[in-house]
Amino acid sequence: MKAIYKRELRAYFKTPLGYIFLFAYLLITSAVFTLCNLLTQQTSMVFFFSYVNLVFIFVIPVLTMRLFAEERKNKTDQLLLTAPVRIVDIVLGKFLAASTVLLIGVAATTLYIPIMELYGTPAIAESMIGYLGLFLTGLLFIALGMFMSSITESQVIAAISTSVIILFLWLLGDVNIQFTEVLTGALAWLGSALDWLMNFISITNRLYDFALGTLNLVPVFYFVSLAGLFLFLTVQVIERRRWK
Amino acid sequence: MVEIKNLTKKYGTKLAVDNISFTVKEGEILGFLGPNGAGKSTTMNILTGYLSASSGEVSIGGFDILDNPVEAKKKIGYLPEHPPLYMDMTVREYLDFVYDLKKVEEDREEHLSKICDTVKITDVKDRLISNLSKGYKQRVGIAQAMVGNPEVLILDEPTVGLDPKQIVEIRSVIKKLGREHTVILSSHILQEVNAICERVIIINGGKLVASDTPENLGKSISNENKFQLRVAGEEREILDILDGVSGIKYVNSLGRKESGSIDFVVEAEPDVDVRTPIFNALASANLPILSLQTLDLSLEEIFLEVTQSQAGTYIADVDEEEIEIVNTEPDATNNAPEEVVEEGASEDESNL
Amino acid sequence: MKNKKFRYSLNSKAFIVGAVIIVLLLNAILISLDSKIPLEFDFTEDKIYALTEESEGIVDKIEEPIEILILTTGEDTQSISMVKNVLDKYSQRNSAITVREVDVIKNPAEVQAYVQEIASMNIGSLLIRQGERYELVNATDFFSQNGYSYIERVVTTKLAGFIDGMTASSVFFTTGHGEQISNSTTKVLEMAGYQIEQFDSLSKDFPEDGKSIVIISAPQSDFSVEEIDKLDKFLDRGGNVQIYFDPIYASSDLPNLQNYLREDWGIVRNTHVVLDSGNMIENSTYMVGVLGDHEITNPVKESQKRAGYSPANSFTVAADKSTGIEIHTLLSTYDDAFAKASVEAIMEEGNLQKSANDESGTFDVLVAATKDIDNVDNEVFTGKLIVGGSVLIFDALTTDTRFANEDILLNSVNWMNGGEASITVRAKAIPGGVMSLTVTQFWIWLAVLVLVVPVAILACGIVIFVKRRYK
Repeated sequence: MKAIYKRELRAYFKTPLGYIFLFAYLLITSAVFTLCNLLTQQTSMVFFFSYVNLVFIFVIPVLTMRLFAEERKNKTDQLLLTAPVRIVDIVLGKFLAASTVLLIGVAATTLYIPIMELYGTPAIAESMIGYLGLFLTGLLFIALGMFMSSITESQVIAAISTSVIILFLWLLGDVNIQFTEVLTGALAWLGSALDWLMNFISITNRLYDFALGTLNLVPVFYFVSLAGLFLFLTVQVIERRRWK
Repeated sequence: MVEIKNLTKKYGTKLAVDNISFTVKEGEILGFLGPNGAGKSTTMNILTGYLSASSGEVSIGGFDILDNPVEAKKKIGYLPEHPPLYMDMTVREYLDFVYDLKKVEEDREEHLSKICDTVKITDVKDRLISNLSKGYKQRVGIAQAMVGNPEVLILDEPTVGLDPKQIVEIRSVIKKLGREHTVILSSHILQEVNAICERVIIINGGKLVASDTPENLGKSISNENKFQLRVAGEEREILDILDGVSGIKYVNSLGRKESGSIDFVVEAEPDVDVRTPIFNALASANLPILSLQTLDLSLEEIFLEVTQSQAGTYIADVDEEEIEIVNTEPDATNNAPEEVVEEGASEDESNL
Repeated sequence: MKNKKFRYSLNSKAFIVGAVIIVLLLNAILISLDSKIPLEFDFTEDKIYALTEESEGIVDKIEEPIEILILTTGEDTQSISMVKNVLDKYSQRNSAITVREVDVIKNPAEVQAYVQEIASMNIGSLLIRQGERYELVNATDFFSQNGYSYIERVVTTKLAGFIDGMTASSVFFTTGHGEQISNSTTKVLEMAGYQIEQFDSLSKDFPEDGKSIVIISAPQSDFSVEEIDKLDKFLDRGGNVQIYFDPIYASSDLPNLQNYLREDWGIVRNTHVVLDSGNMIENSTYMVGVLGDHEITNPVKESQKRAGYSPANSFTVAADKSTGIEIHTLLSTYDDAFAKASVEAIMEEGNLQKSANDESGTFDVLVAATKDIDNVDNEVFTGKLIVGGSVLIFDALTTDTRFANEDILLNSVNWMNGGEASITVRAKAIPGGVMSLTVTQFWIWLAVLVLVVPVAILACGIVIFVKRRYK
């Protein structure tokens, strides 16, 4: 796991990818910060955090698209899969490397707090919780993007599908479909289950707590468990491919 | 060391590997022969745990590749058909990574520089792999397989794409490795297997069709009654003359390769040397022979030899085989003899 | 063992389905637990999402089930989730309280009975009900313009109304004299759990209960002799009265009321206009004052907050004040304040600067007085009186968070209520505040953050990439 983590992390910074990620991440995040805080002269980051996770639509694919798609295309997966390492370690190593790059980005943007400190009194603890929420969201999307990368050989397809799914998850918070209305009678249970699922999947609904400055274990578990699920699915995809 | 029992791999309904069993003893160099698409790479991928067999068992040094993958894989160094190289790394970075990946315990510097010396890549250590020539890439691939001194080296077409000088070098490296390691080597070049291996296995259409020492196989290879002939003159005229030479089984025109001359493949009846009659016939017709060359048998032809003596159903197999060859290498059937010439030529050079 | 493919693939299919189900199930369990047990850590500075002890005390007294419905249109907004977050703490504290969202568009039947009242309310308003009884809370009451959250205060106050024996004390406003009764004042009092009532003191009696509080807010016509008599009797019963004058909104000529104050309480109203241009807040006529030493003002002084006033009348203590009366200054000006004769005089001068013939020094603009009265049964009642020189002290200024006037108003009412707060859940600051960047600073940061830093990183990447490419 360590070897793969080290290689991936190096790869991010020896190729332009890591820099492109940081460039896009900082550019978009700073633009949102400028609009939500500097322009309105508010130190509250509630608005910042409710919009800034949109950045992931653009930047997460940069981190994840090549993780497995490129290995398969260049056949380097043959090296990894015939080396004495477990598939779980390969997946975790890559995930942690991408997460580290994300962490660098998120940590860099916490500098907004001292900037605001120059001109007012920002709410430091609340904002840090917001950053934690942002990072956890990123982790989930990395796991998702890695999964998409594991099911295709094409980096382009991996990138686009990741973006589309993130966008979809983001929009889900705004779509207001009540399945309980369509499905009545014998199917009522299905309706309420689907409603629950829709609400459950919506990322924006999960993020409110963090933006408000409270650390709620429910959304923390949501992000961690779903990220874990995608990692598990990635392992399964690779494992099952051997049996094709 | 390596034990394979009733190995079968299905892709959908197609059998890529059909019930293959063999064992490789410690320190043995085993050649794995077969045309493209015969199931060589699939078998090797199964041996190394990259693919899983549909049924059958593989055990490496006593460890089952499915039940005990990490232990089994520790004993393997694998060079796949396409060397698994990260183009964005330098050679040193890449080998460092492989060293970490395989959790090697030997001293890093010493171990890696020894490998680099063995495959002669020390001078390109700090270059980016994507900027290396094909030969160097192949050597880095072999170096990668050697990292960690695995007990079993599995090399899939290790000399493909190398120039003759490199081929000789790599072959001697492999031979040297064979003293300390068990080596399984696949190739579609008979001479290569002949030169390196102690034992040869031939597979075709997923089936194991022969398993023997190269010497024994060599007997059936020494077929010297097939030639390539280049004659100055008109095709029609030459064919007429050749028709009149007794002992010729068939003549196949290859068309014009050099202006004013025509190339032919000529096969004689078994045990008849037709070279003198042909020379005499053409000379008397004032049609000069520009070149006359014995053709080395292509692998496909050895198959014919090997399978012919085993079963009468080989024609169907061959047809199938040819279709596959068309699929993988479109030129192979159209200009089969030509390819053979090229290979033969390079073999000749390398044998000098 | 014979068919490995079957063995492995079946396992992994079952694995995948199992893992998905387990993850969904665990999340479902946690989500359902969320409203029952606290799984949350509040990192806000003011603990917006935690209940204060006052609220907990009240919530603990609830025994009969109470249902709180959040009226939404199906969408979750930032403020609704803030409200929900706070309400969850109530249901976690006491299982008799249940909280749920109702989509009023999709399920109008739920709120059919209240449709008239709800029609004018905002999304995210609350319907609190217990059997037949119900209370409505408009979402507009939850947040103030200046970044304060009133959610807990409003909800706790409303919930207290459902508890027997927790009936709120009343505050009466007199009418019939052109009084200026300010909405912001009544709102602050209502939120603190007081019942607001109005009565025409000419035709109606003062409240019977001596604990009641009567506020006379900027009358424009004088009180009659009879009314003064009723007022005096009310104070003698131990009543509580607050009277606010004002140089602009109240009449400067209120002889009966002023005479009563001077003769019975020893307080003289000076109808001049007190100004303090040196301590005036920019772009307003609000001035910062000095807080006196009294149980109403001491908590405010301790919290280092400021109290303000607008141009005001001042009060002085009459020389012949009887000894049974204690008078305390609650709010006075700094000593460089000055007084203009009248509003008209200011208009003529056209500015708020001190001129040579203006009286100067400190002026008391808010004073509290007590008088002990022995009645026939030898019971001692304490009448409490507060007089203010400007109605704005407790009007516009209470909603201005630069000042602590809201605290002073609540403290004064609580003091009159026998030292007991009705319910004092304070408003909580929503994280964040205001920054003051100049336009230049804004553009500099914009350029640095959006342009310089990202481009520098990109350039760094390109350099490294190009260098490596030729290795």
